[in-house]
Amino acid sequence: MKVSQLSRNLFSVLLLAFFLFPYVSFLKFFNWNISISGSELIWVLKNSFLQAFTAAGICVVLGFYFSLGLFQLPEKSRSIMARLVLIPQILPTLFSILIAFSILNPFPVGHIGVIFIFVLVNLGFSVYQITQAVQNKMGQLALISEIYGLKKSIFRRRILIPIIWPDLRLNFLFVFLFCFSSLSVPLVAGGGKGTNLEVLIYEKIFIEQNWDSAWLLMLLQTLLVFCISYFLLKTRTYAQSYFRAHSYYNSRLAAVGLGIYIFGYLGFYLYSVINAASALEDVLLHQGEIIEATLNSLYLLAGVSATCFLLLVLWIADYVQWLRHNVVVHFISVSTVMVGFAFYIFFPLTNRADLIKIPLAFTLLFFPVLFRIFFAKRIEQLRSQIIAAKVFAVPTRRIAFDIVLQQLLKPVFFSAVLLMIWTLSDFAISRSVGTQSKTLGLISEGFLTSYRLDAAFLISFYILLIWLVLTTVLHFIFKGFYGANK
Amino acid sequence: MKQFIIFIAVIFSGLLAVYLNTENTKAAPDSNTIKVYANSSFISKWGPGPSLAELFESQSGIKVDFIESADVAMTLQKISFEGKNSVADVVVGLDQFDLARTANKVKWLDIKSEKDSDYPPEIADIITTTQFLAYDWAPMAFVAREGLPMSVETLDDLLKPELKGKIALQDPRTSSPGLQFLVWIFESKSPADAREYLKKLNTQAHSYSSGWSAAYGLFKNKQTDLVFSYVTSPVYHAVEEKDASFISLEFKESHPLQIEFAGVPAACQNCESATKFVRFLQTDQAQKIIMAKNYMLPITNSIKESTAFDAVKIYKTKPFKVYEKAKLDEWIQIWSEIRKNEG
Repeated sequence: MKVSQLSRNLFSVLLLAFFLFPYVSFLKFFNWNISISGSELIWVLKNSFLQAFTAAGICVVLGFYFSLGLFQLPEKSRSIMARLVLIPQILPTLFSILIAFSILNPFPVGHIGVIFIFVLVNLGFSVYQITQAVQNKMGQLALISEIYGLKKSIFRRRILIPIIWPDLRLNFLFVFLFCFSSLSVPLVAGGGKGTNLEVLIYEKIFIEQNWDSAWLLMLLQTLLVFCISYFLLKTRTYAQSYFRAHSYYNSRLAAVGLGIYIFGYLGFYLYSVINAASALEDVLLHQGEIIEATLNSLYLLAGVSATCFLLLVLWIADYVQWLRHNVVVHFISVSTVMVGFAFYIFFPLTNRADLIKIPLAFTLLFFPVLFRIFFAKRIEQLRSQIIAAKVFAVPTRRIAFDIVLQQLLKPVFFSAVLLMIWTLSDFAISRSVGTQSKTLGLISEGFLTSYRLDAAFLISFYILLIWLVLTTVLHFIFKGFYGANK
Repeated sequence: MKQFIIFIAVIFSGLLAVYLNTENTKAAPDSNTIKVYANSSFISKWGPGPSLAELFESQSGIKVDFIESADVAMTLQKISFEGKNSVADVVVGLDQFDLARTANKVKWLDIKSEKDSDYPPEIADIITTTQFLAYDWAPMAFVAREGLPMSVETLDDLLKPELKGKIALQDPRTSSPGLQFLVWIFESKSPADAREYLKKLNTQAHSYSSGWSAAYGLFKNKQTDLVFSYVTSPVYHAVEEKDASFISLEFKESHPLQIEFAGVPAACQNCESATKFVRFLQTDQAQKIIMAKNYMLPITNSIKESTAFDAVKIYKTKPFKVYEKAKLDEWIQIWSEIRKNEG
C-alpha cells in the first residue's frame, strides 16, 4: 500500500475512532453481565417512537407553515425573530415544563402531554431550520413562478415543498432525536407511558448498577439512530442560489400563529423571570462565583468552537479525499449519560482535565448534529467544484480552505450561534463528564437542586443575554469581514 | 493533508497523555491533602463544603480537595473500575440505598463514630453500620402551603378526590426521594394493599419527576398542592425567603428517613486523614455548618437548640434499615408494571 493511501485510510479511521470512543471505551471494563427484559424493551421502544415520531411530524408540518409567517415579517424583524424562536429549545427543560403546565391547566398527562411539550420546545428550532433551507435553496424561483402564472398554492405544493423536502426530513430527524433521548419530559408528562429507552438506561445504571446492560442499550439506541439517519437522509442535493424574498413565501395567518407561539412562550418565561426578581439579592450574593462561571463558560465555549472548527476542516479534507462523507456522519450519539460516563472514567476529575474533556465531549455530541444540519448537504453541493480542482491538482489544503470553507461562511455562522447557546446553557453533559469547573449551566442547575427555582430563572435569563451579545458580536464580525450578503 | 493528520494525532496523544497523567497522580499522592468526592450542592458556595474544608484545614492542617461527583452511582462505578488506582479518599452524600448498592462494588474501611451515644433516638440504629458515618438526616414528608382545604394525615388521605392530580412525586427509578416514597408504601401496607394503593395513587399524582428538583419546582410554581420532600424544607423558605407559609404534614404512618453518610474507600491514599475528616463531619462545629447550609437535621440534637431547626417537629419515623437490592428491585418492578398497565 502506498504511503499516501495509507495516510488517507489512517485519516478516516482516526476520525471514526474519535466518534466511536465512548462505545469502545467500555469494553475495557465489560464483563457481559446483561439483563434486559425483551417485553419491556419493546414497550419502551414503542413509547419512545410514538412520542418522538408524532412530535417530530407536528414540528415539521407546523414549522413549515410558521416559516411562511417568518417571511411575512420585515427583514430586520425576521432576523431577530429567527433567533428568538430558538429560545424554547435552549432553556432548561424544567422551564418549558413549567410553562407548558401553565398554558394547559389541567394538563393532559400521557402521550398527548409529552407530545405537547416536545412540540413546544422544538417547534421554534424547526421554524429556524426550515427558514434557512428556503433561503438557501429557493433562489428566485418564486418570482419565476409568478411570471409563469403559477398560483401561490401550486408553487408551494409543486415547487417549494419538493425542493426543501430533504431539509424537512432532516429537520424531522433532529426533532425525533431530541425527543427520543429526552428523560425529564416523558417522566413528568407521560404518566404510565413515561418510560422510554433513556429511562431504561438510567434504571440499569442507577437502580441495577448494571453498566453492561446500559452500554448495550446505548449501542442499540445509537444503531437505531444510525439506521434512521442512513436511510432517511439519502437524498439528492441542490445547488445553492441567491435568495429573493417574494410574497409567495408569506402568510399573515402563519405570522399570527408564530407570534402566538413565541410570544406566548416568552411571555410566560418573562413573567417567571420578573416574578423571580426577588431572588436577585440571593443571586448577587454569589456574584463572585457567577463571574468565575461566566469566564469558565466563555473559555470552554472558545475551546468547543475551536475543536468543532478543526474537526470541520478535517471532515472537509476527508470529503475532498474520498468524495463522500465519512461513515461517522450517521453516528449521532444521543445518550448523554453514557457518552459522559466514558469521559468521566477515562479522565481525571480536575479543572485542568475539564479543559480537554469538555470540548471533546461537547464536540462528540454536538458536532455530528450541527454537521448534518448545516454542512453535509452544502459540501455535497460543492462536489463538482472539488472534482474540478482535483483534476487541476490543487492541493487538498487549498481545496478545503479556499474553495469549500469560503462558501460555507453562512452555515459556519449559524452553527456557531447554536453551538454557543448549547454550550453556555448545558448542564447535563457537563454533569455527566464530572466537570469540576463552575459553568453557568451548572450554576443554574445547582440553584434548581437547592430550592432556588427563582435564582435559576434569573441565571437562565443572564445566559440568554450573554448569548444575544455574543451572537450580535459574531454577526458584526462576519458582516465586517465578509460583507452583508455572504 | 499532513497538518490534519498531525491534528488528529495531537488529539489522541492528548487523550493518552491525560490518561497516563491519571496514573502519575496515583503514583505520587500528596500526603497532606485528601480528595473528597461530593455532590454539587455540597461543594457549591451555598453548600457546606467550602466552610467545612476551611475549618478542617485550620484544625488539622490537612487540605481538603473536593472532587465534584457527577452522581453517586457514577462515582461508585468509577471507584470500582479504578480499583487500587482510585484517588478517592472520602465519598460523601451516600444514602441508605447507596449503602445497599455499593456493598458488592467498593470495599470500605471500618470507622468508629465518637458520637454514636449522642445520636437522636430516630437514627440510633445507624450504629449497626460500621463502614459509614452519618452527618445529617431528616424524616421525609409531604410539604404543602398553609390553608390546605382538607386534612392529610395518612397515606390513604392522599387518595382524596380533592387531591386528584395535585401531588408532585418523583420517579423511584431515577430519584432517591422517589424510592423512599415507594419503600414507605410497601413498608406501611401489605403487599396486596400496596399494589392496590399504587394503582389508585396514579390518578392522584400530578407526575413522577425524574428528580427532586423538578418535583419541587412544580410545587413551587403552584402546579401542585403537595410535594414529597423533607420535614426541613419549610425551614428553608422561612429562613431564606422569610416565608412561613410552607408546612410539612405529619402522617399517622411512621415516616421514612433520609440519612446522608460519608465513607472511606479501602483504596484510599491518605486513609488516616480521610478517617479524621469523616469523624470531623460529626463534630459540633461541622454539624452547625451542615445543618445551616444543607437544611437537614444534625446528628446530635443539642446542635439545633435555639435555631430555626429546633421548631421542626420530628414525626414518628421508621427505624433505619439498609434494604436488600433484590427487594428494592422487586418493588420497583411492581411499580413499573402498574404504571405500564395504567397507560
